[in-house]
Amino acid sequence: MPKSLEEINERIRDGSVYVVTADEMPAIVGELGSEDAAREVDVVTTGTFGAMCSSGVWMNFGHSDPPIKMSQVWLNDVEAYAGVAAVDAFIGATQLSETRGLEYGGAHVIEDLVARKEVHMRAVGYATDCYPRRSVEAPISIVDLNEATMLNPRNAYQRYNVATNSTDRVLYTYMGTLLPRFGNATFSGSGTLSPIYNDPDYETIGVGTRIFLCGAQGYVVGNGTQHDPANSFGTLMVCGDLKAMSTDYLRAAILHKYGTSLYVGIGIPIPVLNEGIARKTAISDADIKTTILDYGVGRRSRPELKTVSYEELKSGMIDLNGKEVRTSSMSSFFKAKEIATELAARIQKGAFELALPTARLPRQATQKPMKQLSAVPLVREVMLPSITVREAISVQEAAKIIVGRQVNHLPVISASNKLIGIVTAYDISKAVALNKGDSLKGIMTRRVVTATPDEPIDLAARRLERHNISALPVIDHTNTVIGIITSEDLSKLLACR
Amino acid sequence: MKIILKFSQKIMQDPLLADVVLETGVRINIDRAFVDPSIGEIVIDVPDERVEEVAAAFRRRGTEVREMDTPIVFDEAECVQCGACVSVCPVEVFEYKNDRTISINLKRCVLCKTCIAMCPHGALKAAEE
Repeated sequence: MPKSLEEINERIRDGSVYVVTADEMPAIVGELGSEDAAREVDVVTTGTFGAMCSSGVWMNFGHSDPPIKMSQVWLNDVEAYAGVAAVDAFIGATQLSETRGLEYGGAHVIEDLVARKEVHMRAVGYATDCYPRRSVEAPISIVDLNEATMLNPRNAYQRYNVATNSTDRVLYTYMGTLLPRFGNATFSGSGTLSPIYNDPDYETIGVGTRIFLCGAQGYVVGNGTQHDPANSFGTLMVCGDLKAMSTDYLRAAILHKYGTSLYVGIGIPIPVLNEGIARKTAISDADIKTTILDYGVGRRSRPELKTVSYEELKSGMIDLNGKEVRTSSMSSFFKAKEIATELAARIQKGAFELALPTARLPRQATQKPMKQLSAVPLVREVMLPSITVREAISVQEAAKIIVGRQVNHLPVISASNKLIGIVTAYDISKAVALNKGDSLKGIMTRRVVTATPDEPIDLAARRLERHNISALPVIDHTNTVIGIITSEDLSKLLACR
Repeated sequence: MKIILKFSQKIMQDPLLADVVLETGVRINIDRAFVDPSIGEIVIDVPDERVEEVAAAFRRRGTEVREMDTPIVFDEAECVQCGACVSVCPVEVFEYKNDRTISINLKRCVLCKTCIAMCPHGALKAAEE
């Protein structure tokens, strides 16, 4: 027997509504069956609380006297986008402070505003007949803003990939610190409580659905950017009144050596209108699968290592190629549950009524990679032939080659032509100055940082920068030198882009 | 109990740990060691009842000895119970409890400080040294 939304709202008003959180539904449906569960349960609440970089706030500052048309505006030295009407601006969560860098960003400004703290506003403009003023500065707090409307272009990712690291060095990513040689794995998303996973066909989540957003009542605006429902990576664009939000459900975050982000708390109520909806909300952590990716590969398509369920991820340990790897969640399941519980309580006491969508979200959208005018060149396209030497040659012979061939780097190879070291012009000068070294054996660097022919030059450039060196021998899979790539050549190439 | 040993460059060449183990017969576990050209720092774990004896043996050899009482300071108000810290800790200080909050056992901490950088909310800080 299907229910109408009006019947459910009527029960909310008369206090007879029965609300449960989504993590309780697998057991309820398992016990009662989906038909009886649909009759018993009126609303299932979902929740998520995690880093959502695509978040920000539209603000209106009110007009100064004389008035200004702000062309640029900063809050605590974090720039907000002001390319709209005179005193409107959008502050994004990941915009960094111009004075404090990675320590403070748009997310912190937003949290400070919600915490009722004062922030320093500074704006400049070009004078016009109607807006003669050129600059303005003032301490402001949230009550001084006419509107402060959170509008997040991409939130509530249905699920997320798991991050791990195959390389020999620590990686600092938006998925946190990834330890070398698969030392750990990090994941995100609330699994059984995931709003979209509990309504995967977008029957009740759509344009205009009323939601819990950081403690306030908010709304779904539409699908989020990069919405990819066909691959279970659906997203939502949401909005809500910042003035009604609480720092209990909104927190600024710093991801080490990456930048700032905003932890956003979202709860979405799902009206159990029929048996089908009841069945779908019974989804459990074991049913939700995601993919472990190797973030050690700096390409758009990272290697997929394995498929795991949220149940395995939440156990704290996963098996990867026979190795036990510890897992961390970057989002908080505890807070997600707290949000689902708080939303259920508000509905139960009549403080939150449900709204059906006025338009449905796309269920088949697909995502394209960026249109690029030209592909990033590969190392093989820009590398130069390399002059190699044997370790037995004298320092003087090496010096002659460096001068004669006008190079700065000499990869050293073994009798079977494998790379075993590298000597630079500086190494030679040093050997001469210290009067040491008959052969290169004693002066060459043995741990050589190399490049491979099929990687994009941007990766080689980042490696040069990280190791503070100026050339990488290019080797094939047999460790044979097939060329060399130098920072000099790279910078010429990058300058032309 | 965990103890921090600090020693100067002057005595860095001496087999300090081996000497103390031989002298006291105490089974010492090295949790973490850091050496640079000017100073060496080692965190060791010693059975509680032998701490005095071991500390005295190190002091006699010119080593600065300090108990590591509160290695990491935890700010509960900043914590959102995500557990980002759980997987980066080498000695399992942090664990998920059944209600998905995080339990913290600082007794195990070896002060590698990886969790401090990992925490997105600045809830973990190193105690003043």
